[in-house]
Amino acid sequence: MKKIIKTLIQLSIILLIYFVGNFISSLIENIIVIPGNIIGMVLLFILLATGLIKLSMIEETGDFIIRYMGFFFVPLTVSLVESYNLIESSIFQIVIILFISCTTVMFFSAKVTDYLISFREKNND
Amino acid sequence: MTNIIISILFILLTIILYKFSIYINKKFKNTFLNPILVSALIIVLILKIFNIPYSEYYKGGKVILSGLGPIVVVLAIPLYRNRYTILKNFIPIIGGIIVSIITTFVSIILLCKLFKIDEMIFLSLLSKSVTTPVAIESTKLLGGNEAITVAAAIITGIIGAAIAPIIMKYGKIKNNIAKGIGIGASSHAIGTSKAVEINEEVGAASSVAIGVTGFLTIIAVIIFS
Repeated sequence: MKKIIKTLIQLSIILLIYFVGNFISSLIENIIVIPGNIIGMVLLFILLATGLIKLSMIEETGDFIIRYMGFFFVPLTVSLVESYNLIESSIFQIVIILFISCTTVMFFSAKVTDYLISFREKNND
Repeated sequence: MTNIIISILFILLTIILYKFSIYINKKFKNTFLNPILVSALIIVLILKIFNIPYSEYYKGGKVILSGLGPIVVVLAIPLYRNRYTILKNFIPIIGGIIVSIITTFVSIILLCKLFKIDEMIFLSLLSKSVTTPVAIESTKLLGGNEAITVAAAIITGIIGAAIAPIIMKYGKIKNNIAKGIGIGASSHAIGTSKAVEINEEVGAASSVAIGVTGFLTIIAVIIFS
């Protein structure tokens, strides 16, 4: 019982930050589109960094959600059957394009970051 | 009442299949047997076999989908735990992300030319590497089709999650932060679900990459469109 209440409290804190993030997002959407969940992430980070929220206040529930985060994308992937007809005519080419592009982007951005980090580390020594 | 029961049944089905897919993934140790992909494929198969329309599944699916917002918020936790490493590598991180945005645009332009893809689809693919709300917005600015962008973003995420371990191994990426930036900048939150599995530092960098890539992409699109 105690564990359930603890989980509910932790979940409420996370949801509250998410809702505040959405609210801020809607306030600035005419200037720039930043999704509410991204603002929520920055907000939670600031709250943790300033000590207004202790890590222990959200840690257990947060880590649980992160461990199973792939689960939340399952219905989204199932929804592809709905949009399939939009890309049906060139589905084969599109998947190849996305595959090559994703591979290239992942490799180059990781490699450049890797290179810049080792460059920084060498110069610091 | 029946709607609530249908909704609960489909949520339970998704939970069971996801658990099962994690088991399959661990047992066969094949990165292409990604749990998201495997469970989604089984669900699609079940819907087809029993002739259930997607709208019925969506009754439960939308409940699960409502979790997509808050999960990005909690990514602040690995970010906070690894804040010093992230901060120390601020410039390499920004450098890597800028490279990712340029590579995305260049590769999509070249590949769409090569495969003679319709302009409408081409414009919709440009934003596929960023988190969905940003992708929709930047596709609107570019004049593409939002539904195609969302589909492309999901497919990209699944591909990214599947190939990440291979790219890191054969690309000889040594640093955890660099691995995370590569994953997050190419395949947003779905890729990040794989990054957090590799280890927490990779997950933290991947989370940073989702936010920064989204932010810089929308700025690039505003400037160029």
